[in-house]
Amino acid sequence: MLIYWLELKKLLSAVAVWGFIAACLLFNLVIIISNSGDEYGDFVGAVAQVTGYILDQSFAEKLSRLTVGGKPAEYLAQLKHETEGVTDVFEGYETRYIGERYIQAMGATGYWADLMREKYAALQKVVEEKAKKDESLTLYFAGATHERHQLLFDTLLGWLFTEGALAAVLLALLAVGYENIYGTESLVYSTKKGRQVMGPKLAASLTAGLGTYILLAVLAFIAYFSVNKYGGIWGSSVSSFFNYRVDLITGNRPFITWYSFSVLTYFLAMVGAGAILVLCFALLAFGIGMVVRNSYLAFLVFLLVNGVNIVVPLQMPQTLPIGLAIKYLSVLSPVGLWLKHGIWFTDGDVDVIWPYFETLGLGLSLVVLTVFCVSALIYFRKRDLT
Amino acid sequence: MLVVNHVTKKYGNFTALEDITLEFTKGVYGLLAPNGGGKTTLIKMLATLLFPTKGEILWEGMEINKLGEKYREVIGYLPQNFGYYKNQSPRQFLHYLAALKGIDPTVANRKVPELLELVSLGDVMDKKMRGFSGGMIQRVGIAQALLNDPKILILDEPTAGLDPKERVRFRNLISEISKDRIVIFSTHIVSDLETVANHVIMLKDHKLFYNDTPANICQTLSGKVYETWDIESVTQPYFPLTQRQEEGRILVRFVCETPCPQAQPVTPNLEDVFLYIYRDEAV
Repeated sequence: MLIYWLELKKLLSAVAVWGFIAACLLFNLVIIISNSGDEYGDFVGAVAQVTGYILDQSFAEKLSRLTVGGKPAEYLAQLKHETEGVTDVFEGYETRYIGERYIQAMGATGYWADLMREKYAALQKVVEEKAKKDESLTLYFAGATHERHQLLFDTLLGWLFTEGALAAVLLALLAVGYENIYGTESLVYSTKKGRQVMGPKLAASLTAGLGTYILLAVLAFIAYFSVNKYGGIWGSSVSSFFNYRVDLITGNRPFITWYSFSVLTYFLAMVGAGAILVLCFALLAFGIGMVVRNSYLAFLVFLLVNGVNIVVPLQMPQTLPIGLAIKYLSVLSPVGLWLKHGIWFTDGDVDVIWPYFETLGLGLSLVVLTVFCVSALIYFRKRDLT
Repeated sequence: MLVVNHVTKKYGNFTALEDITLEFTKGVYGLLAPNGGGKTTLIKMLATLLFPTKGEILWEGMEINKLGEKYREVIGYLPQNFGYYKNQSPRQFLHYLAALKGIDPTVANRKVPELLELVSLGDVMDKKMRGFSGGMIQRVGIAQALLNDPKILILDEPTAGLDPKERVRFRNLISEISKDRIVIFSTHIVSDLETVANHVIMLKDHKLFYNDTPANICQTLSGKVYETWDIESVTQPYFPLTQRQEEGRILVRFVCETPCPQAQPVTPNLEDVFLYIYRDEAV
């Protein structure tokens, strides 16, 4: 335990790490401030504290009793207009066409086409369940929903995942290459603990990486929620009538999640899944660092591995079954998941073949990368340190 | 007892060490070889940083890599040109290494300042090492090697960077601590070995050349080392060792395999042997 703390202290005393965190904080502030200022969204959040977020008779009555003056009066009129005659988007909604469009777009046949059809058959049941629960009849941010949803869950969280992953990767590479950078390999690895110090180094780098992600997230959320008021909409469903996805193949369509998520639970799930993604990237970097040893070279290898993971599936011909397999499987890799963070917990899109792809991908990545890291540890213990 | 048993180390097609067999019991062992001669390879194998391609290294009859931390806890190692954490003080650095050596923090609290005093760094033990001279860093290295009171002390070029006064202090320290442990000491500076080493191990062409006492090794050149003020009068083939200028004249010391009546025979020393043996190699 003492060695773990000493390794953690070494990482946290690196000035570059704090410089990176400061730069990220500044960048996040710029994103938040330049994209905020939507008064209507704040107004809807404040109204929901009085009316509740469920679009029923009671909501309409409470809304009609509200009286405000000035600019808010215009917002109130807009809200009344938007919530009047709202229908359940899931009532009679068919998901099959989405699957068929995707199958057509990918040119999938046989096994892969069957899998895609199975996924949308399963999603149909979810849609029917959502219809029963009137999940879409919730307020969210009414007409401001799509922009607010995108800002928090696509833009801000996307950047937080990127920054958290980059910080975790840099910390992992710093931890694994620390002795190489300072020329202390011979001293450290000939001690009693010897090369087994890599265990505490791994634990310390994962802690520091995760801690950095949490710190960046907490500070970004403090800034975000201080300029974007959520008021009473936290319990509203993310599959609200007002939320939708823009999809080039199927056109705009409802935001369908496999589970019934409120804004709060979806937010927590996204932040939690992001933490696992950060860990996956850190494990990948640590494993590469143990094989390559030189941190700078290891970072280049890390970029190369992820670059290949993005480029190869794009270049694979869809006419070959192996090409389709690579395209579908690459989505489950950390970089594939990172690219699709905006549609986590939904049915995904054209190259997502499995339901719960983010859960499956994160679970698989975590297992595979843990095995990779353990194998790299074993290799490191048996290699010559010239 | 530490035994190196028919050890060979290869890097691809290059053989760094070939079929080395050695036995170490208590005492100071000087390891001599020219640059690239395999000393550091041998030392790194003793420190478990490299693995033999063939053969084995045994400590108390057990293979050292199988013993793992049980072996590493009895060694103290001072590498050649080692790095350090510039932003840490010697005290912090030694505390970190003490933790890695499995030394209880309360013991380390006592031992670290003691050792830093021993190597004359007591007054700078809390200063960052960023501004330390090479000699001061070398002393930090010596202190860390002694942290765990090692039974085997492995020192790779330990006197590099030390000034003459520090070198004498260091040699005295080695003599003091070598009574109940194995000290393996590699160096280029032959005079360091002459005063402290009980045994000298010389490697040549990546093989073991000599493993004997300094006196016996010097004996190999007995009757072959000469000095003369008039080297031009020497007609036999000879190999020059050193030359010294005095009062405008040059005194040449050389090895001659045949009797040389034109010159004064002298008692060979370890440096003569070193220069003669490695005459064809860059030293």
